[in-house]
Amino acid sequence: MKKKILIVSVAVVAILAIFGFMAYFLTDKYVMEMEFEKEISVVDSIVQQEEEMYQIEIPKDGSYLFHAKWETNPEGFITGCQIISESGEVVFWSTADWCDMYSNPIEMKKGTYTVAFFFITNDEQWDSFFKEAKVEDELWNVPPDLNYDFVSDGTFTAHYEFDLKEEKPIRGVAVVCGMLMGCILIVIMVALAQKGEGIKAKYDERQELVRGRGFKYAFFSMLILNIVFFGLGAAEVTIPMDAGIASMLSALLGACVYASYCVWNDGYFALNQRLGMVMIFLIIMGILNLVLGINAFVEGRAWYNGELTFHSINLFCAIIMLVIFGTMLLKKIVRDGKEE
Amino acid sequence: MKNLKLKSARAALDLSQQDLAEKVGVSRQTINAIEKGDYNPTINLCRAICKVLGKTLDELFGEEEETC
Repeated sequence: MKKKILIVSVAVVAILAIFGFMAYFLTDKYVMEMEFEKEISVVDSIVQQEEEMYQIEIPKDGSYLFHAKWETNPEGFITGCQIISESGEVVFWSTADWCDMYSNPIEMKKGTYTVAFFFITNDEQWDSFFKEAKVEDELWNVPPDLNYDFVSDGTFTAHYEFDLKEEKPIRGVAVVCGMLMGCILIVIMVALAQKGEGIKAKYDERQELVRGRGFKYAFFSMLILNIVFFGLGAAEVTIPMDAGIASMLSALLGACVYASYCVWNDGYFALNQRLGMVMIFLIIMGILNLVLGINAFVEGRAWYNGELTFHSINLFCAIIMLVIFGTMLLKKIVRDGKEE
Repeated sequence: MKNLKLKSARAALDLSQQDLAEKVGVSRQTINAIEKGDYNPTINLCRAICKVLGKTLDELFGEEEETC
């Protein structure tokens, strides 16, 4: 039974890996990247430089993703970005004083497009950016109400980066393959960690009791954290984290409380588990999460615009692993639990 | 309250906590908790322990007053 599960799991992982690899690496994709620096001078609220324009060749009809990032030093004007087709149609636009943004998929046809950066230094330019581009938006008024403190005189250094890449629906398939592979790998890990036949973990009656209590404490921990979040929200206190990580944080706290309570009371490891194997898997997962988490912070994805983002989740998972190991260590020191 | 009767019955058969735990299908920590009086086992586990140690329920888990 266990052998069959292992063989089938490994076969499925192999098929998914091959399919995912082909989907991700063997499908061609169009990518272009560009970056430039610009000195901007503003005199009496009039910008002295022309707009910056770049021509890009789209090789074939399709869906494309645009990513742009810019910042100015000091702040004081707005950059408007447009992608304009040969016929003059604006297929994408965005405005910001500084940003790091990703577009929704843009439908583009084979041909030449222009990526234009306009330097907006007063309200009139702001209005004309939208009017001249004939930008219309059903969701909000165009041009949007602007309440921005333009600097009327000054010199700015601005750095711009942008890239355009073809959106490949099949790359989404590769991501799904990766997620499925992750799930099946967990099954394989669980099967390998179990002694004897079968993959179901066996706990004795005391362990079941401990695990039940662990669930109870985890549930109340989650409840309390959610109430705290709700209270802070009601008091209009800003929590520096996005909604995604905030919602996951209570689940992670629950997992942390559950795991540490069970470890402390000898209910975490099943009777039929190979402790060494489980420890190896936990260490691997801990290190992987730690590396991914630190990487997300170093690259600025985990902490962005003054708040924690969903990318910080790996670091929190690594912290849970650390808490589990810490509890094991503490238990070994404080309560040796050896035979009397 | 510590269960010294269980501990001495186990020791009499020269069984470690781990040995007894394996024979009754529980963890060593569970046997340790029973002996230390931290956990009250169910009747099924009590019977399994009695069977392995060749004792009656009263002999191992009876009240002190009754056994004296």
